[in-house]
Amino acid sequence: MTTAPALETREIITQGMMLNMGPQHPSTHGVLRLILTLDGEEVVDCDPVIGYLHRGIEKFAERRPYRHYIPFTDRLDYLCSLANNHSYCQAVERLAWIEVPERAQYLRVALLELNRIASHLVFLGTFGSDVGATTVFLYAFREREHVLDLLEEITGARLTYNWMRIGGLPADMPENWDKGVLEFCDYMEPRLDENDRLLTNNRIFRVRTEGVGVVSADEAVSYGLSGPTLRGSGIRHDIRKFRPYEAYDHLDFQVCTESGGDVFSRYRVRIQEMRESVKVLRQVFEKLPEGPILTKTGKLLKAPAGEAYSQVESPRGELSFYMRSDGGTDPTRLHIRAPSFCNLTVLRKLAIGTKIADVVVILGSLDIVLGEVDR
Amino acid sequence: MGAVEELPDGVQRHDVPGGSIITAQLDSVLNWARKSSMWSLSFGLSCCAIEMMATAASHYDLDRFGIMFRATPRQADVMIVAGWVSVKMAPLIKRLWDQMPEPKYAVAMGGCASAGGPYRDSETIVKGVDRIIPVSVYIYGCPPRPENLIYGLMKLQERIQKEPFLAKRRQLEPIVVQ
Amino acid sequence: MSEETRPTEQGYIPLLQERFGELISGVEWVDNEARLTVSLDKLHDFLSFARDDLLLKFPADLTAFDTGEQFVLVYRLVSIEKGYAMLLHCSISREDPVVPTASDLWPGFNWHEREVFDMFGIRFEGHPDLRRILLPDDWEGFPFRKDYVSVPSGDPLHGPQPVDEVGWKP
Repeated sequence: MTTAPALETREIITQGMMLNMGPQHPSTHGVLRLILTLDGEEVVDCDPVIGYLHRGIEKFAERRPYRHYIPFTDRLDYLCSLANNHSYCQAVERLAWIEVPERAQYLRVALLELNRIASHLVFLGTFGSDVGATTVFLYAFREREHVLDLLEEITGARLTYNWMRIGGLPADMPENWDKGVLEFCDYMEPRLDENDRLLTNNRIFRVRTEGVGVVSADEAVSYGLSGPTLRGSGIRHDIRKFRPYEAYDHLDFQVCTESGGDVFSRYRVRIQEMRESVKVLRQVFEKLPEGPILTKTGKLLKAPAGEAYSQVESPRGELSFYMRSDGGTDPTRLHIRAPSFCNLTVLRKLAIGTKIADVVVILGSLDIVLGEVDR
Repeated sequence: MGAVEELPDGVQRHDVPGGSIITAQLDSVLNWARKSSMWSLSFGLSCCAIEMMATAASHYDLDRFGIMFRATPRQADVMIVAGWVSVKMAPLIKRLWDQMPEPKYAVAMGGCASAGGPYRDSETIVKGVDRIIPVSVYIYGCPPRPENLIYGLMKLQERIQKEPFLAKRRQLEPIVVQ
Repeated sequence: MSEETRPTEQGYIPLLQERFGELISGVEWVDNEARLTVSLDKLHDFLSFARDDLLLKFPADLTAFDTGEQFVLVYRLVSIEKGYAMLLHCSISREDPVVPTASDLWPGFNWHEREVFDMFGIRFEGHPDLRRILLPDDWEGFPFRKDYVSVPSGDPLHGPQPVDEVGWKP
């Protein structure tokens, strides 16, 4: 599978062709450019070109106080802004030894899981249209509006929430918000069953996705894949279990894995994760303790000299912030380990030897967000 | 025909026995058709593209206004620049714009496309897409809400209706939606 | 992860000290994770030892930072089966920043190394395809170096853009 047979050994000699897919292409999920070398329909080489959204966001942190950087993290992976906010705040909290109150920890988990559902729904919608099932796009975005309404009620924004603070959350949840979330949980589960009937058990969908773009477990690890892309290859690795943060070690949930390693397995993992998120949300409001939601920090936060490495499980995988401080008011270096960036490295390997139409499906199954890849 | 219910300016209905006739200037009929089939280039850059998708999806349903997303610039009338424009991307946006047939309109959606947004002090970001292509509508927000985008596009439709289509068009002041 | 595979207080550090001795320094074991510095001349040996003997098979992260006097590479390696991790530093000189590539050990580091090259100008010897990844191909200089100064071109289609300093000042 690694290399396609050379042109000369073929019986029918076809002329090689270069095809430029993107940056403006409806199925590249943003501005990714793939330079494909084709032999007929078959992909001989694939060179992803990234950087069309590069803005040097890591450098921005070096001239801003810690708190002022939170809005920038929103715009990294804009499908799960809260996970980015959270990973950044957690890095500063680790650097400056700030404790987060217990109530804030539980509320953070609720927000993160809601955001995970919203993000996976966008995946479901766009992936559906990638394989030609446009109806799924409309259904998924209908469900997503319910999540966004809930998040808007608490944060006031639809997409870029900017709602985590260093040391907790800026405000408690509004009254009866928990009831709304629980209602949503009851609403969401039948919708997922509906989706199973609509898409998962659809024969055309299965033929398009099963056995396509297979990543073996060893490959997945050596490429540094993470999140559903890694778990789709049968590796049980989830930062929420591996290095539990916030209240995750008090909550009961499964790490979903599938053994196939193909596009369908990655899809299945994400659908299962939505069910698990609903499960976690229910538990959060059973266990939610009373108390403060924000640890007070000084007006201008100064972190002691040193380094911190914070990792969280974002919907796309392991999202880490590496931060160094020299004791001043802003970090000297911030590095973001973007899960999409790492997951995209495997695309070249998966694309070679497949048909062009499968490249679109494989790319869709990696679920990348270019804002995060390019940083 | 979408959201257009009353007849646009320059189109009159005359009742006659057994029905009615419409008389109109050619310009207004053509503009009526143009504004009701404003096909947009499906071209998302960053965060705003997600809101653009949400606007096109079931809840907000941009199809009501006759705005459909086309995958190729050759079939598009409107380019919604949804996101920040980097130096690496700018020549490609310029090329896409040049590939679109006249008459064409550019919508700068959100702070980044309008003026660089939060990335105004980044040297890889072009401070507003209006430095490379002429922009007709600026939409405020980071990202703008779907309602805001729809409002901006409706304002553009209003302008298209009033535009002299067959005569030479002059450059108008851009619309700013706040 | 079962209890037997959970490493002891010192984890795999004794193994490293036995094998590399003087070459490693600043060793710390915090929260199932070793933090240490390795000297440049044995970097590649060290990395292949980490992968094959310590089973740190997951290439989590690779980046660098600039202290002003030297560049420091930061590797983060994780062992999913053993449950431990490693944060590895390696200093290199600013005058001639060349390091052996790790992309032959972990293909996942291929793009990370290109990114470090793009931003810091650190060259990775033996890398199959070392070219700019995020910035345009014709960009001059390496922006994440502390002494980087750009000359704005003023042309929105090409080269660095003028900067409006809207950042917060204390």
